[in-house]
Amino acid sequence: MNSLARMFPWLATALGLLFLVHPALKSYSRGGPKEFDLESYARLPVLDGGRFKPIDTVARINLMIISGKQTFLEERQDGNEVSQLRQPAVKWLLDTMTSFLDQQAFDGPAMKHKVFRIENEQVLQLLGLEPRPGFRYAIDEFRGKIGDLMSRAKELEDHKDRKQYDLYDAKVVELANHLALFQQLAFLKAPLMVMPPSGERDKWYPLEPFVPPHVTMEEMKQVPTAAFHYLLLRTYADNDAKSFNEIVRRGEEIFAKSKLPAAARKVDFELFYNRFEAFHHASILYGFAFLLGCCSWMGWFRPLNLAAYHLMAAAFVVHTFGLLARMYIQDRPFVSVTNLYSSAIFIGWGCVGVGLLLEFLYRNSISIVVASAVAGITAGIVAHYLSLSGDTMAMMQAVLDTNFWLATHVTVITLGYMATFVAGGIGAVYILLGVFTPVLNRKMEDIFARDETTRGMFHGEVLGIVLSKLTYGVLCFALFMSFLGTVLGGIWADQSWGRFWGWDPKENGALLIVIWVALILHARWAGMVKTRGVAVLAVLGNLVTLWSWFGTNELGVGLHAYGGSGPLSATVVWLFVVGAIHLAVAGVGCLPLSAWQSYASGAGRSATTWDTTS
Amino acid sequence: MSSTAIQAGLPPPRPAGAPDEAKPARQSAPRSRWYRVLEFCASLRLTVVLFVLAFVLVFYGTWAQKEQGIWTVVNEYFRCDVAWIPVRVLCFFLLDIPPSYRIPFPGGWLIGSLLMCNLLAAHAVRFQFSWRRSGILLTHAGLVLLMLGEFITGVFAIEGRMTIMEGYSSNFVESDRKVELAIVRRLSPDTDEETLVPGVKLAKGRKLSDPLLPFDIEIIDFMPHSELLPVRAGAANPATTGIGLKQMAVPRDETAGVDPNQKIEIASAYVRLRAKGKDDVLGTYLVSTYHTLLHYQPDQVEVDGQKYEISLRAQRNYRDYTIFLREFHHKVYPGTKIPKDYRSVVRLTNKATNDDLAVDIYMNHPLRYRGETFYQSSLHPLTKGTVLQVVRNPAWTLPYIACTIVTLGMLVHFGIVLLRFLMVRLPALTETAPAAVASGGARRPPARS
Repeated sequence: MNSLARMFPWLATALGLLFLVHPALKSYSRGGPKEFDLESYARLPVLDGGRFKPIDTVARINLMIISGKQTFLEERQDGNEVSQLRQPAVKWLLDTMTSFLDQQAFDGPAMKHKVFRIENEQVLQLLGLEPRPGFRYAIDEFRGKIGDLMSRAKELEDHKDRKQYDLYDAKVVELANHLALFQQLAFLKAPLMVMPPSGERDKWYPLEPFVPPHVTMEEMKQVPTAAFHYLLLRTYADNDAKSFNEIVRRGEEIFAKSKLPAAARKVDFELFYNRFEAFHHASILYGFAFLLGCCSWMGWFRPLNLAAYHLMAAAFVVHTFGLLARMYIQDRPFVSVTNLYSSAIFIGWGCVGVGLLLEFLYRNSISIVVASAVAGITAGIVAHYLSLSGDTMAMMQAVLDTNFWLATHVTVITLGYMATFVAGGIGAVYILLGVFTPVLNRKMEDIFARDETTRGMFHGEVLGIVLSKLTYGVLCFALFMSFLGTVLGGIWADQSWGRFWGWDPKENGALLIVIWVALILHARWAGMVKTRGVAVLAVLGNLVTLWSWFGTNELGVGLHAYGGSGPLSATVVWLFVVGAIHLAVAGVGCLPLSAWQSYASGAGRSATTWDTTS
Repeated sequence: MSSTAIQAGLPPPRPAGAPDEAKPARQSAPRSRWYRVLEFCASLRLTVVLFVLAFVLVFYGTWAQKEQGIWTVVNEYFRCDVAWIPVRVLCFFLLDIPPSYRIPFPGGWLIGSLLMCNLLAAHAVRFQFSWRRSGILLTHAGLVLLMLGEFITGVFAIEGRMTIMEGYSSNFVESDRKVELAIVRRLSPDTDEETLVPGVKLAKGRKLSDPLLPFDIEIIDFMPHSELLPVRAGAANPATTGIGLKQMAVPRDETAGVDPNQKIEIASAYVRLRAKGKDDVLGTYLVSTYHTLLHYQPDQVEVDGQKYEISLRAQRNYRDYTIFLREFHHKVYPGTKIPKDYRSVVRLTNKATNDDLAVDIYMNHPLRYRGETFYQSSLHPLTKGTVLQVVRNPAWTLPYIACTIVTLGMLVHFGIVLLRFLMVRLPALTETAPAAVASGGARRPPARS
């Protein structure tokens, strides 16, 4: 092996780490004579949605809900030229909160920021807008039509059952809600910024009633945090960066001396967590690992495989850190799943963990490809869409609020979901490689015979047998985890309302996974299916898991707040697309062996038959 | 089929290209017909078929909850021998077929008992103890216990709720699902005489008579799922007196099991009272569980100087003890509507045993008293009060034991499988690899066949 081949994995990993670390080193503008110290402002503690968070989080969450992004493009007019500058959410929040400060008609930069994401054609028509790339619009562009929109939304909410909404209705109500959210921020009704002298969580108030014109300046000064926040907004509105920076830097002092609850002192860390975007960056690296894993099959196997492996491991560390950070911020040790968003993140994490382990046991890049694909899709894409609905660390309802069961039942059942996905992924690879390539029935050495870098890597394993073993092992793990998780859920239910099993949709969903995996394993033990059958059933198992994970929620319209509602919601459409792909793969897997390139010759059917003895 | 066996773990992989080994010869001695039946009952293929049936049943039992209440589904799909699944459920409500078109499917009891037979038969036919199989034995023993527990729960467990307003007490548990028509005569301030008609007898057109009552009852209409509307001018109103002159009951769809805003199921009935032996109609009354829920004063009938109160209410079950609700707390997170805590501060008194307990009942902290458990369930929908879930389940410990056994069993079984695998694989990874690298250049890839 030449030195390049030896160095490549380390080089790739180093680049990956650099990519992961660089965002955490950045900061917002720290202030200058003409620049606002957004960095200090972003880390001020406020109470929102029942928990303490830095202003930065409030800004990101609200901008995310409204525009689907955590940054926005500010347009600047330089003479005749319009330039665009990417700005942090906290700047948008400041612009928004100062837009009504003088009680004038809404005016100011916030009205010009193109942040409202409106994709529905009918809604655009209602507002008199033209579709444009990115689909983001400023209030100034549809100001005249807001009345129409609001009255339509009100009519819908008063007279139409949510279940009867069509896509247009849902989108009208959604946009109306976004505008209401914007209004809340502009009127300073949210978040809760005014701290009581005792610091007590239950007695925080929004800024609105504490500032002019509701009170006089003198009265306002009686409440230090109200005066502090008001003056910040005032100086920001007046474009007085110097005073703003002076005041904001006093904030640290004010809060340091106060009786701020310990929970509110984690805001600095949360700001770091926000900026790090651990899951986002990790999933990009999973994408690279996926590509490297795929490329390794074209040649130069060992360096590419090792690079993918190490890259995935590096991303896994960051992913783990992100999970731990969430536990710390929410003060929930060992609890990694509290809502759908975090379940997607956690499934991604589990996949990578299992993938690394399997790849360690059998070097073939397939575990890497499967794990990084599932992790990239769940922790990257699915989690992104789930985060559009608001705070991903929102407080939990009383009945769910127990760390013990969240840490046990929810974690275990989510690992069960994860394992079925991994098994399904490997099953899909088995089918696709078997049908479209001749490699499944060959020894690894033979497959890579021309690749000098693979010397000594393999021990005579036949690829098909390896995949079959992996699927079997992961399925056993899946059965154990889904059974244990389901049962723990039953015990939780028995503890909280005296019913071990209630046959409700989510419970049934979990039971379906258990039955399905048990079915696969028993069918295999019975000799009714062989490796190929197990692969097909495992692929279908993904559908069962998807049903349990998302489908049961979709049954009851309105249980989910993301992607609209009703039969046409984006989630349902995606479920159908993903379902169709799985069915197609399973269908391909059902082709007779003569149609399988790997076994067409009938030369060695060993890979499919090794497990039929009994 | 007869070659099936409860397999323990991975069969050892054979080298690629090796011919199939001959299957171990089965015992060739002729067997009785009964043994063959038993063998069929014990077959793994039957297990798989039953799994498929169970899967389909649970799947459609979930879908059915889009239109039907959870308890209807439990009784019609899971706790029955034959489930009659409507075709509209089978096609996921895409076709608007009336619910009366149904096909039979094995129900939960049937599939469960067949699985149980299958499991027991399998172990009867192929029982042999070895460490390798110990995990499977444990797992299956636990599963038998688990199914038994669900069976006992389904048959014997009693669930109800106790609704208490703040500052009041209650000495009865109400059924979640059953209603009763109550005719109450006050004998003294703390004694009532109650004549009860269970909900199952409240069928339209039915005539009921009781020697204790000076009147007969005719059910004009009974609606298990209804809502109350103000009386509109011109609409036909069966009621001739009482609250029925202001409100009308109209039938409504059953509250679906998956409905996120679970509405309370309201049952209503129109009943006509006739003086006994005469044809005099005393009046047609509207009775509804809605009114009892809100503590409306029931309509009264006066016959021979005796006053009778008539009401429709959740079926009651009286207890020897009384629970007094001192305070009820319902906290939300500041600035949100997310409930943070429900808590009932109660005092339980039992004159017969002189028990006097002061306890807080809140989420995940139930009160257990004399075989019954009181859970904080929810808050009264309209006034300040608590709803406690009251459960008596003789089998409540079974799932705990069963699950521990199954979990242990799987841990042992899959643990053995994993260990056996790793004992082969890990040495292969660590030992041969470096050697191969060292002799890397010398080793030629085998020629392709």
